Amino acid sequence: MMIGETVRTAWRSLLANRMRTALTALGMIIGVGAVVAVLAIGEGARASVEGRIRSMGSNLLVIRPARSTSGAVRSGRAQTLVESDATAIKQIPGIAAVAAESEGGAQIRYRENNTSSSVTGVTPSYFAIRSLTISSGLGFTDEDGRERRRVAILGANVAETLFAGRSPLGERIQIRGIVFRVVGVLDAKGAGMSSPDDLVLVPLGTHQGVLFGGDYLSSISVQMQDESQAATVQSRIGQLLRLRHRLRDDAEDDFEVRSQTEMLETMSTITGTFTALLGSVAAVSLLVGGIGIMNIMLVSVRERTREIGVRMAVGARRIDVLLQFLVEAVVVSLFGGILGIAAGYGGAIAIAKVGGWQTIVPPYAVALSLGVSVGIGIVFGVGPARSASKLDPVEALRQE
Amino acid sequence: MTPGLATMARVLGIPHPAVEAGSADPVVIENLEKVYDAEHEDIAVRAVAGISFSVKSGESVAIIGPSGCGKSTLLHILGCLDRPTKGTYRLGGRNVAELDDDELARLRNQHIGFVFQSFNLLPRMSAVENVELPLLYAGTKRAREKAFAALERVGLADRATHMPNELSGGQKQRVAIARAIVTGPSIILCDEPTGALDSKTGREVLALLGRLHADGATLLMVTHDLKVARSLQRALHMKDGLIVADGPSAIVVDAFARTADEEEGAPTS
Repeated sequence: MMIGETVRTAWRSLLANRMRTALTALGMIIGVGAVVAVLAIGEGARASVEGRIRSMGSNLLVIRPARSTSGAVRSGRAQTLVESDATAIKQIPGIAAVAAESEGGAQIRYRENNTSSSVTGVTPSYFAIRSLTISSGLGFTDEDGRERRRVAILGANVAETLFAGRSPLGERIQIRGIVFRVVGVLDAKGAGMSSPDDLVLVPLGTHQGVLFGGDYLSSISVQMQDESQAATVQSRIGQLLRLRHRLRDDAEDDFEVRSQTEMLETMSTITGTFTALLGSVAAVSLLVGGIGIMNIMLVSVRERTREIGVRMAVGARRIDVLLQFLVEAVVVSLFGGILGIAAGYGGAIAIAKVGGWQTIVPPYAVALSLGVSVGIGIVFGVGPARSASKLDPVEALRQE
Repeated sequence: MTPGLATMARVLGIPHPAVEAGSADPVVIENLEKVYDAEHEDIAVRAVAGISFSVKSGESVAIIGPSGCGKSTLLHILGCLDRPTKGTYRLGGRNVAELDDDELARLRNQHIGFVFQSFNLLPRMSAVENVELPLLYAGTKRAREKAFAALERVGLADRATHMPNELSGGQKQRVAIARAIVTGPSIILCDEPTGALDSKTGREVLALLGRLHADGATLLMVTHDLKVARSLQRALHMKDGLIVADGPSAIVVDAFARTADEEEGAPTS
């Protein structure tokens, strides 16, 4: 029998049991929809992180303290970098600008409004290196840091949370209970992991001297004059810091210098792992959908035993019967899969709207879902279809 | 194997499979046995206990006999739905015992037309689609056209697009007959074709089968209805898996009616 005819027959017998078909397909719709939505979240996260890293400029190096290890246990980052390291690095040829940063979390208050946010102490060059622009107000000056002035620049989200549309310029907020004056607001950069929209920036001197104490930096950002010098600059920074930190030849670096490309790779690995993990959880529901298909096909074969007998009597070969039921299983699962892709798209859009996450349905997810749907139809349909094709025609015809 | 070719072979004295079988008849059965549970001798049931007969092209044959005499089993074997335990069955010159499942399916498709007591139309297909089904399995071109032609032969061209549940019993059986003849089979096997019909529509269906027979179809019919059996040319009387009488239907049926009278009152006559 021609395959077109087989598909038509399958479709028709599925239409004869609309409710049953719809419920069976629903299993696939949920499974495929969940996988597509998760992949869309993962892809969105990757794109937003990449976009952020790229927006910092391709000629950026970031120096951070090395992770301290004691035995096999990795603990937090060591405190090894200080502001004078940053000043020294600036002397290396080929470097355009250096910014020192120190991070800390704190409670921010404006009147009755409260939020907790990452408060980062930065040097004035930070804004240019990280391509941050100030939408209203001013940046910091060197004096702000030296004199530990209590001034702050708010990320767009923080400003919105605290001031709800009013202008925060000149207003007084409390950070860790200490009063700061808002001197500027950053342009919004959009949602994503570690978005500057959620930051509160203060002068580095103020951060270290007034808010958190200590001389240590969480990172130093270096802007090179030319990206092609990355390797040279990277190794010279390494040599300089080893000298400054008086490391012996056999000691490991107590810092790490990473280029933007390396950061991109790391972030891709992280978001990739995260997506694979969530995706495999979602894929379990595909398995459940497949079992639903198998169940309904077993019922269908039993109900239509007599039909199978009649078809055999008029000349259906075993392979014809097998194909008929297999195609039926594949049609249900593919039908569910296609609707599932649509549901996944819808889900991704809803997540983007409600959760504020960027979601992108990657093209490979659509191809993958279609392939997996067909595969599930075959894997879970072949058992029932085989049992149908193995029926004894005499017995089958005798069935009521 | 075409009978014409076999005849020619016989005339010319050329060895030919059908000639070697001794006949060009569409159905040739020799010492046929069907034993259920053959591996356990104590509970084995010999449904067909060794019978031989042949059916000539264009013949109409009734098989009569009490319930459990092996009629149905014989019909299933004749229809290639079941295989004999022993003996040979040649359909259109081919020894069915040597064929695999796919070849049997092909024989059912090309050489056999089934007409069942309960019609066995597929409920979700229109009349013409039911008739078309064997042609689709055969991969025949212009199947729909041929299905319409077959419906025309049974006088149901105007009901072609009706679903089975929109047809009367007689109409359903005529659709089933159209499905049986659409591939031009060597033999039409009927299992109580009027059993589920009232006497008037039963007569109409029999008249239709009679017309097909007059046009050259070979008929083999299992029936309880002795009137129906008498209307065919020849009758086989089966009892306990054996053929106890084989001859012109009037003689065999009358003899059967008498024995049945003696054994257990009046059967349908």
